[in-house]
Amino acid sequence: MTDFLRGVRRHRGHTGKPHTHPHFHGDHTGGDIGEPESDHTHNHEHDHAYNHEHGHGHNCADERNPLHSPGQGQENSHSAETMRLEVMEDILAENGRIADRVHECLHAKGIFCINIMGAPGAGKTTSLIRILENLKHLTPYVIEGDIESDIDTQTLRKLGVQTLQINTGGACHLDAPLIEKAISDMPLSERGILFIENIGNLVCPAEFKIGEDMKLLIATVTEGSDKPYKYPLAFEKADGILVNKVDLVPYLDFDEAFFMAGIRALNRTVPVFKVSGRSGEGFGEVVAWIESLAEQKTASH
Amino acid sequence: MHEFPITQQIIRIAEGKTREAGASRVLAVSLVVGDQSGFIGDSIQMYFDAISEGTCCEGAVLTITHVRPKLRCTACGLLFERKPFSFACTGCGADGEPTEVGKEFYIDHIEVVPGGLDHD
Repeated sequence: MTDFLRGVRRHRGHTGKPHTHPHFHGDHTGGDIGEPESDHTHNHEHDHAYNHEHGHGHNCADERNPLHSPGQGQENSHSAETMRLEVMEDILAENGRIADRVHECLHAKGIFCINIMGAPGAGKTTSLIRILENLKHLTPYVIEGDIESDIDTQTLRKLGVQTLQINTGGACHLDAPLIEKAISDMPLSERGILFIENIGNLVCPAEFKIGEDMKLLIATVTEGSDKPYKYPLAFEKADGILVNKVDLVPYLDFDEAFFMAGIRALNRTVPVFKVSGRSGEGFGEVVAWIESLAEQKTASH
Repeated sequence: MHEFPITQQIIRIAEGKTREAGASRVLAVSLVVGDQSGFIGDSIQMYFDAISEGTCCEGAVLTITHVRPKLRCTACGLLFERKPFSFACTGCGADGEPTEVGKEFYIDHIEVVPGGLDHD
């Protein structure tokens, strides 16, 4: 954390004066298209160790105290009329704090939490159903996140799974406050696994912690083998990746080597499972892996 | 879309700092936004003008410093910007791995008018 702050302070040397940055975002998730910043000169290196685990979760607000004692920020007055206040606060810190609270609450109840992410149509619900079919030892609970409708919730309830629907009414991801409210409405009385199916979206869900133990990404061969290169954050943040619809490979030009090279560059150790939601192929192995992790995490209950 | 609640949060943080300092009005808010943070500066700007109305941030100038994402080479340690459809190091060609550079999303500082509250 102090490395982060040190880096930031050095960085501030470039940013002291208010200035504007005409800016064009070709693809904000990848930084791989377009020339966003041809007219600005912030090519600073950031050569400090910058490897803390929790991408957005770092809580600058709490960590900055050793460096910023109260009132210190007021030293940099620009003039009698204006005063500069150092803030250095991660804008997602509040979401991160709530996510930590959700995680603690679930842990206390013996619940292992899996955040299921993937594009619309990747087969998140179908994969979830296959996982539930194969689950042997732990009680499943589900929170379904959708912009609208409760189609998936109805399907899961018919299977006898305790399922709660969240409709975000347009919002593109679930965030920690939504989950904190949702779990307060669920009994979660037995040790088990809470599956949270996030909004179908390969971008935003990766940015928000919701208190999960594991982010499970459902990718598909039909989306194309370039997805790790175009949506790197989702692949970088995943703790497990299912490559769904492998039964369709004979009909596609899916370049598995290119796809896997992208995943490995972003995430060297993430387990990758080839599955077919349609046939059920591969899910036995997925569930054995999930259950062993969940058993370890909830063993004390 | 998701910049709306985030912009509310930015204004809440700025209001808190302004209050703590006993100041009344915010003239400028300076953000650092990594291109891989998932938040779009232009969108924050649009919401900022609307949401700040009636708050101490009304009329404040929002400045955004963008940070390009960088990978670190696993072989030579170079920090580099990736080329499209590649993670290869621009120095030696080995694979780069993700870093936190480009994922920043924080308020760096604000500029306020000192005093101006009741005790002014």
